[in-house]
Amino acid sequence: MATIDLGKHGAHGSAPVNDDRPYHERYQAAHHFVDREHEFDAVKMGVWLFLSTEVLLFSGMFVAYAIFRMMYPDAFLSGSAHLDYRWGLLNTVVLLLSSYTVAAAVRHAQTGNQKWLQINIILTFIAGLIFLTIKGVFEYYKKYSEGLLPGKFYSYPYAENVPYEPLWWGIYWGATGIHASHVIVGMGLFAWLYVRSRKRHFGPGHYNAVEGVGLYWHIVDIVWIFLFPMLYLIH
Amino acid sequence: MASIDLGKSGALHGAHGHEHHGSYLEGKGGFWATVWDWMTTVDHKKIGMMYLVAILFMFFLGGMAALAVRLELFAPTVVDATGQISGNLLGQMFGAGDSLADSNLFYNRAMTIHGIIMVFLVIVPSVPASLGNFLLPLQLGAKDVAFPRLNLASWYIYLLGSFFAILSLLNYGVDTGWTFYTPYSTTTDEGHLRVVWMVTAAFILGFSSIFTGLNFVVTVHKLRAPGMGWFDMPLFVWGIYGTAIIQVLATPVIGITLILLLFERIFHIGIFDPRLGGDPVLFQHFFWFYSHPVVYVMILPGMAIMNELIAAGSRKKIFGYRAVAFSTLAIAGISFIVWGHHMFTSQGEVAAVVFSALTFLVAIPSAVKIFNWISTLYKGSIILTTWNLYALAFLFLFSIGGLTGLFLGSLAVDLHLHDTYFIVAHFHYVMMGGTIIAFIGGIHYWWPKMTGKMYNETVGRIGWFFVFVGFNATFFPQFLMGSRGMPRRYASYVPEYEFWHQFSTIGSGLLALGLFVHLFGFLASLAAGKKAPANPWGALTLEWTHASSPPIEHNFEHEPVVTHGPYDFDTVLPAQTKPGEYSLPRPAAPGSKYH
Amino acid sequence: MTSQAQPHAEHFDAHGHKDHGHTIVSVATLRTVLALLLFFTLLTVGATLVEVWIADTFNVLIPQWVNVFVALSIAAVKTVIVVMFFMQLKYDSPLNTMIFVFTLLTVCFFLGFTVLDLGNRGTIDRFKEGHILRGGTGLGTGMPITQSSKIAAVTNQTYDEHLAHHAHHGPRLPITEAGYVSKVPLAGSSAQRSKPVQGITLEGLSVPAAQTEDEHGEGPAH
Repeated sequence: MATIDLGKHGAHGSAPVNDDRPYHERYQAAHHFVDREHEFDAVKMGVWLFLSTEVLLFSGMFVAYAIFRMMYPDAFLSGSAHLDYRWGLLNTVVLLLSSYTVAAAVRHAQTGNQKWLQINIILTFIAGLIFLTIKGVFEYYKKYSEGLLPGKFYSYPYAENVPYEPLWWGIYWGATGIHASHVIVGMGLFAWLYVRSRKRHFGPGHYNAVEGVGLYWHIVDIVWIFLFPMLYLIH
Repeated sequence: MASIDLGKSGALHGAHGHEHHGSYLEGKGGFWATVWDWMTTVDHKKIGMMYLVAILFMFFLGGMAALAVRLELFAPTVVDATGQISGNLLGQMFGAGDSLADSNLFYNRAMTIHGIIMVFLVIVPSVPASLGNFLLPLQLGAKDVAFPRLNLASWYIYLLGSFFAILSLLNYGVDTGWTFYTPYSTTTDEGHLRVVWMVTAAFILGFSSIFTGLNFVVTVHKLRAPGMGWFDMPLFVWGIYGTAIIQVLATPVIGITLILLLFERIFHIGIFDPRLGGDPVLFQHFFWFYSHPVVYVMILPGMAIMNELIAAGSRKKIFGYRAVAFSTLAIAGISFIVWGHHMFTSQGEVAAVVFSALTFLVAIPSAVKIFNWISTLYKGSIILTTWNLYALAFLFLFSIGGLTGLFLGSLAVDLHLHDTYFIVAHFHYVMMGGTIIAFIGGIHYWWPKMTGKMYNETVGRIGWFFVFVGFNATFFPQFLMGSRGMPRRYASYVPEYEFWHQFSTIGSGLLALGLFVHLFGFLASLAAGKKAPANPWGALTLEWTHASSPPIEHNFEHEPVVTHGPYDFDTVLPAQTKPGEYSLPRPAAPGSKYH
Repeated sequence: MTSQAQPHAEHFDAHGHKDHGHTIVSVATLRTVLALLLFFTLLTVGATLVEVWIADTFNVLIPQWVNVFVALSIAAVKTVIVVMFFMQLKYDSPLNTMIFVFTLLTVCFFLGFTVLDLGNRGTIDRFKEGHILRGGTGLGTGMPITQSSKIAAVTNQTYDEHLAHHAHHGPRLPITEAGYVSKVPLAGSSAQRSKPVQGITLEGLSVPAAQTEDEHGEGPAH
């Protein structure tokens, strides 16, 4: 029975006393991994599995949307008419740009460009903030003040007697609400990434977290890519 | 003897972990230090043991609820001419003996809490979180699971979910049945938060399940020892892997279902309310899309344990390794397309026919496994240890459960049997007669490895006897009742069913007795059990051949290299370190080819 | 003594993991993908506006599925390029692609079967409208099932004719001589064949006055 040299397993991720290289260079993989490459692959796979759970979570909303659009196309038509597609378009563009900045951030981590890594993280955070602002101020607040709320709170004074329209609003608020909550979580993650990038945690040899959060953000963007035409562009 | 290169970090840290070779159970110096160590541990073995204790405790609570249910059903509730109620034993216990509505409500709460605890708090986490956590890295030759901190998070999320469930229970719990069907769950009990708490508990527990599954998938893909290909892994790992895939893909859907249920209940958005244009059956689709795969999350680990027990218990290679491995994946895959068979009486006919046809498919891989296990037993050296008795019991009980599942998959038959006791008996035979039986067997099999002590075989066999007899006495009459029309979830019944119900209740008492015997056996073993050798059963998987009982903190002294298959009993004999160490047959004679 | 000098690739094959070399996507690729995404976004908005314009100008009703199909196709294309390039799935282990694909497959099953159910409510009803057929389906006679059932209900000939040709047994036993004691009129039922009876078959019940046949064409006994 052969044995393996324990060299790579010796260290446990802590730095020896007089090593003043940046964190991302002296980072050692957790002891049950063979090396950083191994850990990176495992982490990436783990993130993809988590993203698949996110996709399946949203799929419930999409199935509900599909069923009710099939059953009540008129309610969806008239409900969608209340949405201003231009705000939706702006939000879509904002999120697509943020997808770009996050992919750029990963690239800068890979090349070790600390300054642009931080800038891109901030830009992505700001994009999320713009998205939420547009959503909250120009869309949600307007709907709230007009009474276009889900279910039992629906109180639009100029009701056009389209049956089951509150159902459409339930789908709208539910889908966009869950999406917005994911944007908020994403922004929190970017704040965390920013703090760590200031401490020079990320570099060509170690950028697991940037990659992982980036992948999460792309899924959030993809969900919006589907939500936009399905909610705003019904005709 | 390997050299220990201390790597780049120098002598200061190289010694860590290589001097201290005590078992993982050893205390860290002082009571509070040990408590803190267990609370912050990322060691999969400790996390697995904590899960085991919690799950067994929840099993006890769920079992108490079951006894309450059976107590109520001992006698039919009868209201005589003067308005006097008799037979509502559960209601009388809780001071509601005078009101039929109240005592029925108690029954509904008892049966709901029994279901919720058993499904979400016991069976779904049972094998993967406890035995799976403990054994997966050991069987793969790894030091830990892929994401140990996520593992710890999973544990705390389980505790949080349990806390919410207990919170709801202390507030007298819910009476919706564990399936939370709309419109009952969305329109009743206004002003109380009971449904909300319980649904929140289930939502949180879902995350625990997802993270465990995610961890295991990555562990199996990325952390196998050198030399261990996919088809060199123990079949226990295959079973846990299939389970983990289902956990990752199916559990988010119950997450969104519960969110939508809460939206419906709190905001009345109307997706499940026909008055607002919704459809209550849509809830059932959403719910069962998760809950059907989750029953395979429940049984696949039981089957995974069976592989190990049958092979070691007959000292023979598993018949048809690849068939069993692929049938695990087949079960995992097909489980996603058959959920409508829970809804034959509520969904439309077109979908019902399609689901009925697909349901027959899922029986095939399960049957493949049963036939393979039986073929493994054939001409094997079968030993009658407690755990092997449980494995044999599984074959019998799961076969009954599985066959009756086929009856229920036939659309025309199910229209009569749906929501009767036939269903109750079916799922108890597969979930309890399958998973729990395998779980108890697995706990006994791996007890020496996990605790370093041997359990008492006689006590184990006595426990097995009462569990087996009690289980059949409890649930077999329920098949008879159900086919004769006894509906499920009813607090009372017509006198024609009284004999069978009483038989069933007495059986449940015997079953409880058997389980308490096991509890006593485990405690006695912990207190005074014999010290266990590294490999008391002579098995050939890595946890037995390369790790001590109990294992050291880092599992293995040196990273194992796999040189034989997990069930190569015909060609390999595990090394004996001391003469007479095995309590089982029988080392090869000197000079034989096995040395 | 140390294995520091060993290259990654050969050491770790047994784990089933290969060294991917951390592909760094070029800036040009990223910018191209962004441009494409913005273009497709404008395209999807444009398609909708065009659809509305066509409907208004030419006074035609464009079916809903056109709108859905166009929107979903464009969204799918955008998703694919985000996944392949921004998320670097193109340069990644095929295992991660499999994870993504299986997820989408699961979503398709969920959506497909649920729509199969909720979209097909009432589909079977027109088949159930006719009389419940006695003595066989009538299929193979070329008649619609509802028509052949009506004929069979009136004549009750199909089954009997067939049996008359192939009967090997003696005369049919009246059912009472087979030991059965019936509480309801037997209307010509025998031990070999039961003939259903219209009307109330349980003692003590009475026919509701206004109801003779419900919409399915069945009598009140059904």
